[in-house]
Amino acid sequence: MADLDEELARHHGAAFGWALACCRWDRTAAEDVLHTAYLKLMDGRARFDGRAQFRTFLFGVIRRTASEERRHRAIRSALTLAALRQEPAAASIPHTGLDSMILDESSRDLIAALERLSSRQREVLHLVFYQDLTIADAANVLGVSVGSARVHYERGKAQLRRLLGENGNHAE
Amino acid sequence: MQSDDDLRARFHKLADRVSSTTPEFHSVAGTSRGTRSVSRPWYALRRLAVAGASLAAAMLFLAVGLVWGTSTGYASARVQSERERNEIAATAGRVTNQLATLRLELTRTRAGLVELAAKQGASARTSLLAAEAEVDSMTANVARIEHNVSTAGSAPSGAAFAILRAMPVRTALAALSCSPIPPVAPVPRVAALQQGIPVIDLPAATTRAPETFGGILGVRQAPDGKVLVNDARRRQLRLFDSTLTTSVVVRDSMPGSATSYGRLGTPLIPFLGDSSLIAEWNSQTMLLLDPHGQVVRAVDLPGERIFGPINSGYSGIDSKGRIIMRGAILPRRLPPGVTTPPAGGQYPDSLAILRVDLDQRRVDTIGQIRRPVMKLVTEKSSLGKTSTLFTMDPLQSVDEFAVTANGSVAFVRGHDYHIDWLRPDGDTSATPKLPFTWKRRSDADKARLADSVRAAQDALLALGYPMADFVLTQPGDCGNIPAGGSGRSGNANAPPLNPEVLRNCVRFESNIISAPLGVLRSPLPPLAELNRNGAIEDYEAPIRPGSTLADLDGNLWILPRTTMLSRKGELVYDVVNAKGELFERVRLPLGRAIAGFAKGGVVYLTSGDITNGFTLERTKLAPSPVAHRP
Repeated sequence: MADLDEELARHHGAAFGWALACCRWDRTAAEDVLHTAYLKLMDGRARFDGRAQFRTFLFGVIRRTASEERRHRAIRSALTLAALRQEPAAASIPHTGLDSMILDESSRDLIAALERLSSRQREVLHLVFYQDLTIADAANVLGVSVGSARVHYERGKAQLRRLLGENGNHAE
Repeated sequence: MQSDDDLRARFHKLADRVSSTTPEFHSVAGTSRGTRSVSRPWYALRRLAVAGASLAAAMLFLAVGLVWGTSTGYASARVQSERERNEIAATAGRVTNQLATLRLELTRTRAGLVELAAKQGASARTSLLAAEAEVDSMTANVARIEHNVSTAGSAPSGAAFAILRAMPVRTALAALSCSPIPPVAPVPRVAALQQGIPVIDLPAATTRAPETFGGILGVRQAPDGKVLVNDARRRQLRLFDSTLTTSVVVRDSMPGSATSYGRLGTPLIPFLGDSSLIAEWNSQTMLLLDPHGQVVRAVDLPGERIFGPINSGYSGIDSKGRIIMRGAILPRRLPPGVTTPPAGGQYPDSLAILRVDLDQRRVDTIGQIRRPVMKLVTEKSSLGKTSTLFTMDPLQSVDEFAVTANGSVAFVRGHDYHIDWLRPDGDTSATPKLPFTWKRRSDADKARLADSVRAAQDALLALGYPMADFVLTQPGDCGNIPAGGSGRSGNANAPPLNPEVLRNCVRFESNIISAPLGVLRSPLPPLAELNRNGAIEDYEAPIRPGSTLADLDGNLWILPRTTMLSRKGELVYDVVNAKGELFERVRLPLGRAIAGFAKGGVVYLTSGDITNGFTLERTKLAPSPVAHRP
């Protein structure tokens, strides 16, 4: 348990960034997803078997947890039973962390451009440029083939360049 | 254009921003290890509560939907009912006016009949009675229509809501609210039926066989439409196509082949499904025929003595494949000194109805029916031949029985015209008296009947009963015995008869003279004085022997002895359904008799005479207006 805590603490910053990316930069959702992912690791529902790097494995758990959370939210919204959810604390958490990022123009443009990409492209670019993973590791995290990850990477990068260029021109 | 390094730098700058706002690991992990771990049971409970709430909400929506839908259905039914009531009221008004006019016309007709009777005297009494009966029938029909119209016009809205009351939604609502479901009141049907019994004219034949028959004793329709006809007099079994146009002889009178009919005409007895039974006289067994008349197998009867009675023409089959038949007629010897000369006996006034179980090979008596007292007189000639004279009283009331299509045995009692039922499950019941126009006999009527019977007897005696001989050759053939030989009178020059032939010949003679044998007897006393033990009954018997038939739709067809509904002499049957309700009367076309039935109201009719042959026709009865025909 001590080793797991150390590993999690060591990758906590990167994990939070990846959780933000998976939650479309919603800090509250990212903290909730990260919390649930840690819970899965600690109670054994997600078990690291050493076949990949721990960081890659952790990112995969966070991505699946985020997907589950989105699915649960969609179901709850469809059933219109959100009022029955007993999460009063969630609504009171302010988006303080995101505010400072939005205040930075460069970061705001990057986030805006990433929002216009497809989710797969956005995730690949985040893993490669933000987390400094290789394309193979990114493919492993996303559960796709390396070839597919490479295509998403190239197309996403071209699209991102174009979007950032447009924003730059508008800014000028 | 930004290079990969530029992109990486921008991402790292974003990472720096994010890292500055990243929450502490222990705050997240600690929450996971502490609060969340402790709250897991509460989390499960919360999910359980959400599921329960979802289920409750779904039930609530379902209940609301049901109530809403029911209310809408009731409203629609109320509007529809209101509209129909208005239409019925308008129609009822018009019909009532028409009925009033019709009733006035009937009253005028009745008055005209009375006036006509006064003018023409008693000679036209019979025709006037028939016309009056027709008027009565029309009056009954008018009353029934008027009753139906008034009932429909004053029907409360509940009639339209009856469907809603019985619908599953209401049952579901009652189940949801745990309230009892009030039963729907049964509709009294028998009383309404007896008020006016419709008289239906059987439609003219739609199909007719081109050839004639010697005498039809059984018609069976196969599932493919082919028709098996038993021509008992010509001893042929013919299979017609569904249009009665062409036929093939399935069993022929020609002896010596495997498909020989046999030497005696015999009835075709309906068996289980579409199969039939027919007698094989040589081996004294019954043959099981398929719908096309092909022999399937031989049916061994439990005992020899039931073979004859089964082929008496009064046998049926119940739902378990048991043969219902009347018992053997065995004469009871009269005490010495009581019999009429030279010797005699008397048949009992009742017959046992037997049930033959072919599987268990047992014969049970299931009932008794009343038959006319019949006496016999036995005479021995100088040749050693014994002649037996059968005589019976035609004026007594008798009982009849028939087996319906559902296996019930109906005993039609002649003394009061009611039916005793023996159901397939063993239950017995009795229906009330069927409506019948009872005619009381006065003393003058009784004397007139006795005189007419005696006159008829004398007339037959004068003719020598030419067609009354019934020859049963068993086991040898004595049908061509030459006249004369010996006896009290006859041709003395004729060659002597072979005594061996005569010993093998059993001859049943209906009366008086056995001319073919050359044995002449002195005339015997007339039948009316010979047989009747008691006085003539006070009322005319409602039915006669052989008057009850069962169709294949579960109904009983009873031919009353007298009816006022026959216009020109047509047969009018009382049709009783399986519940014992006389629900309609069927008037056959003139000169037609029923030869058989098929399912769906199909009736086979026959007409003709012995000289010119009998025809076979098919018609179909229209559905009953009171919808009691299955």
